[in-house]
Amino acid sequence: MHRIEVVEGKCIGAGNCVDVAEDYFDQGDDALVIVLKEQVPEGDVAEVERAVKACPVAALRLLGA
Amino acid sequence: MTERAADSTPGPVVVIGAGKAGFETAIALRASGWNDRIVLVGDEDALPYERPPLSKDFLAGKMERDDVLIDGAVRLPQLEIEFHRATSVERLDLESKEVVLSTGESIRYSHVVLATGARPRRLTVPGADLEGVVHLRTLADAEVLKTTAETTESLVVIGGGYVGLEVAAHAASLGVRVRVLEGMSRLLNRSALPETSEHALRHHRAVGIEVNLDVRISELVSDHDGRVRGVLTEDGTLFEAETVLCAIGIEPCAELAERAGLAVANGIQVDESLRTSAPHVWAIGDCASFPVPYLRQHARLESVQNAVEQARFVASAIVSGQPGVYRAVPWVASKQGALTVQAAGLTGNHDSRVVYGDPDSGGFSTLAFDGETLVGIDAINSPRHFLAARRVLTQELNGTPSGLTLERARSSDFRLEDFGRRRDPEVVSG
Repeated sequence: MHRIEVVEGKCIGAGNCVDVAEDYFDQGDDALVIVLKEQVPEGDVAEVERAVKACPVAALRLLGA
Repeated sequence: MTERAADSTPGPVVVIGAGKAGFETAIALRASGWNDRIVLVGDEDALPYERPPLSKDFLAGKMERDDVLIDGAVRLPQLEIEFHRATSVERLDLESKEVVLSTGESIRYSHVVLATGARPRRLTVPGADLEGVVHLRTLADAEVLKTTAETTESLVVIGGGYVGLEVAAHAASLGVRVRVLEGMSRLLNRSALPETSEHALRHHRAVGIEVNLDVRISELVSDHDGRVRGVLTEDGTLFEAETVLCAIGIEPCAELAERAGLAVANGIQVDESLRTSAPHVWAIGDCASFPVPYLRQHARLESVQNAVEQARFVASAIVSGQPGVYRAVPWVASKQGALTVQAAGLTGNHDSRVVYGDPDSGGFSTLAFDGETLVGIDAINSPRHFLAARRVLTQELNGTPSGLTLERARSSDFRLEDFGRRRDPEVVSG
């Protein structure tokens, strides 16, 4: 199992993560990231990894990857 | 093709400027297999850092110096990227293809990427350099402003743009008496649609920030010790303040390019592939003026999006030897206290606007059209609108009609969220 971590203060509300993996990420009214599911099963790792990499300010990490 | 193939001939790449654009270029070059030297030169005495937090969480004390570093900044040595900090470039010699550093070192380049950024525009009125007049651009600036904001009782922000309003919102939340002076007839004049400006004005006034529009400043007035004590306007009004933040925009750092003989006009001029007027010399980010599809003219864009996407484009062009055409949907985001503005596209040429959602609910968007075509959105506390519109804009840029027309947007059953399909993961550009 892999785990999503948010780096505090970095998110600028691009929404790139939501664009790529909307089952895992959402945004509040302030546009800042909300992680919907922290734990990522093997089958979804590639998708979540793409979402994490799509962040322009590296506000997300996928641990155990 | 022979000429293009020659472009990818290995040799040192020198990236001048270690802000977001320069850093991303160096990282992307290494990640895409550039095996030769990569030299990254930055004139600040700091590791590369993210700028957006400087006017938000760093200022609020929620992040320390190390927290704002770009992820990966500490790994530059492992990636064998030669990072020269607190180093400037003395000379760029296009004839001998040499970059001469302030340390005396001279590097013969195969490619140069100019990512020299921008500096705050300064007021030209008397008193502009008084003690207590601050700017916000660098980490060092932010450290000064942070300390100042914590101790000052009153702040006048000159300039109602993104940076000015972000800082104003933060200072107001600390209990500082804040006044924003804007020279134009609305806030965010250069970057936002009128509906956004109006909403921002109501929002900031509601949280206690005083805002004056159409202000002509004649002088910054000092006390007996030479410290600023207020801002005097042309109509004779004196706005008293212990601290003045001058946030009237930035201007490109293009002196090095100019001295080298490159074409410069409001920034370093580049073509649709982000190439300057000299071979093997590229320019990206805040300092580069490029042909923007939406505006049908050259412009500079000042944003993280622009820095990152141009950096990745140029790195890929250098490694592959295939320049291609740079195309991206521009976007920016600004968090001003409880007000979040996200804007995508460019609305300079729009001729109609449609308001979507209810401004009184606090969350709504304004769509801008050029004829029947969507050219931009300002989303206020509405990230879903922003995402949908960005997807539509991306489709249109790629030549795929989205079905979102002005006529459709004006219909009673219009739902923005129904437009814009998910991007094919294979073409995500980040």
